Amino acid sequence: MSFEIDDVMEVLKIIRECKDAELHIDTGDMKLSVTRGKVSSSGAGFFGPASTAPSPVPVAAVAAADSVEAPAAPVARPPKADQPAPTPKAEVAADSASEEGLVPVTANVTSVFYRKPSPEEPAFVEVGDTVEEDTVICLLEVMKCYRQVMAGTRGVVQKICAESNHLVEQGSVLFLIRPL
Amino acid sequence: MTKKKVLFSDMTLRDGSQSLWAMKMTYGMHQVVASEIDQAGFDYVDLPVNAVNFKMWVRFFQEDPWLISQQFKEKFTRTKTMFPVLERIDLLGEAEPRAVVKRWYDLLVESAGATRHYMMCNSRNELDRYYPWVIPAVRERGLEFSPCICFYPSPRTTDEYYANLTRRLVEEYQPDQLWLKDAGGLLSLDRIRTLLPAIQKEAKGIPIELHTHGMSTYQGLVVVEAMKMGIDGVHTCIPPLASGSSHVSVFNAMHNARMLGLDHNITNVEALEVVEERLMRIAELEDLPIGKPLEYDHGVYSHQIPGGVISNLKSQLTQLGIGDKLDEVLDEVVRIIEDLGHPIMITPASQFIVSQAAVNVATGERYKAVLDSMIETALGVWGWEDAGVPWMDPNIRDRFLSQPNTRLLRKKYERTKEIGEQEGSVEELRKQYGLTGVSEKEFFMHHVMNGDAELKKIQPPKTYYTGKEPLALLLKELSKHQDVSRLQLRKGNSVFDFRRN
Repeated sequence: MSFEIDDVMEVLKIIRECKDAELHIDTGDMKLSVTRGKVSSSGAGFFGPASTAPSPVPVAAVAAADSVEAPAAPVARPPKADQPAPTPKAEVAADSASEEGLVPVTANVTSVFYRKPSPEEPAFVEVGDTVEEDTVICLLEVMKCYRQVMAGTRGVVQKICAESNHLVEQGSVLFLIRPL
Repeated sequence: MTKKKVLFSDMTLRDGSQSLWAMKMTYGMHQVVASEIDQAGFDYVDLPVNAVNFKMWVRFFQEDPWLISQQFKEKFTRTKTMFPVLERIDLLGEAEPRAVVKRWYDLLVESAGATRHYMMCNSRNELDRYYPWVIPAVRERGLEFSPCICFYPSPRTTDEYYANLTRRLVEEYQPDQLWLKDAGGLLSLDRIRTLLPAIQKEAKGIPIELHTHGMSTYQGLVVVEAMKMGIDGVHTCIPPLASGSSHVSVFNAMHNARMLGLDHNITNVEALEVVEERLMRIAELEDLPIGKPLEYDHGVYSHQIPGGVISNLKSQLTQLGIGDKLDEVLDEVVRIIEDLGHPIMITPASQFIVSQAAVNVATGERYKAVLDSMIETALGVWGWEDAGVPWMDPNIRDRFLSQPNTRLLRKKYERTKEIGEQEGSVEELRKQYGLTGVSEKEFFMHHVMNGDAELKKIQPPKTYYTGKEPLALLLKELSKHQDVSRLQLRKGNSVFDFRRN
């Protein structure tokens, strides 16, 4: 029976569902021992117990594979600026809108809130900035399309209520502005 | 009598990867297939050398795009290569003066060694707006030029429309080739039978290449029909990056050409088989999808959204809290296409429409929140006739143009136009950025990435395997099985002993 590395990989996939299992295959020419989960007291495999088995070559091979051979893991790498981690809705200051005289700017659609035009640039506005009605104060993104949000009120930015690069739900308060 | 020969060009690395692997092909992946693709005999190979791919490599893989580009030049020594051009560096980025864009072309050509450029002509009124200066710039650089005639079924895109477009292209620009580009995969058997002769008649002998995606599921039939009708070239991909929403498999195209009694240009099938085997191995290791023919979905002729995109759309809708309203969103897409006057449904218009449809459903009221891209469409930023503006519902256009954001967006558009009409110079932009002391390549990457924060994270590229290093493959597989505590293998005198605490 011919037994190649590809067959070993198939074996690994097949026993994926098994828990705390051991498998020993001996085809004469080739021997394979796999331990999944806990090793039993008799689970010494072909080459002795795990605690005593020498393994200089495999360790070196692992190191080489990690540093040289292994390809990048693209799917595992999170994007940065343009795909923020979804988080719960913005910290809506439920009571803040009722703070006397402050005008809330809300998200009119569930979207991702951005305080900066791009990751490298400064925020559109900071607390304490004076804004005009048509001052752009943030961006909302829906599926890679954007909507500039304007202050809508002439005043001073009193509070920023949502976290940049995070999802905000429809109706969430983004800013509180004290009218001038 | 000499048999008619159909010429296959390879789209695997650019469009295949874009259609099925979301552009997740890295330096190492290209490294193990490029030379083999080069040996196959393709007419041209399309390279992923453009700002969007460059951004992907930097942002998601921390790889140096210039190194990848250079690798293409080194590996493609027999086959001619090509890449797309635009009137700016990045369609969704800021506009640049023309001298800056031209220098970008030069750098890409120098690094990747391509000899042919292609550009869409009827998705954003490119023919009127940008061809008059872009095409002479391409010609001045000694490059071949292929305009892409974008096919999209709508009441106004008749065969006569395409005939007139072809006539204009031929008379005004004398292209080296013409692409019939069916990005939506919407060509039917009936339509290719009338459309292709209409274009062929006006092409006056200029070779026509068919570029058709697989969404309608007629792809294989359409390619056969086009070959019967004397198409000069067909764009293909190598599995697993063929089929699905990608291009027809080169193996299938070769087989069908033979069945039709046609010659083709593929001379080294073994090289293609090696590429297929290696890409299959990569797909398996990285959990990347394998292209398969799609099932027929009549919806592609109304909402025009390919199956592959729908699965992505579903997860995006879930994020918006309307994951259960996919059908409503698709119906809304159909209504918005009508409202907008049937724009050519190619990126970016297709993305704008899907996003606005999601917003309309999420807010429960049509156009309660209007995305900036809709306002820009009404302003003509994304083309005029091609974007459907003259046929846009006037009430809806008024509504878009009376949004509070309109004034700002109009101003931005005017500024963009102004910049794009200037010749300018690279030096001026360098001074503006305070980047006079860096190399040109560094400067352009700074521009594309909007700063250098991400560029600082670039690492030497990770090399890949060729599928012939079994030990590396086994270790990679083991890394996926975190609960395998021990694996021992003995073959002859060789021993492999893996342990994990």
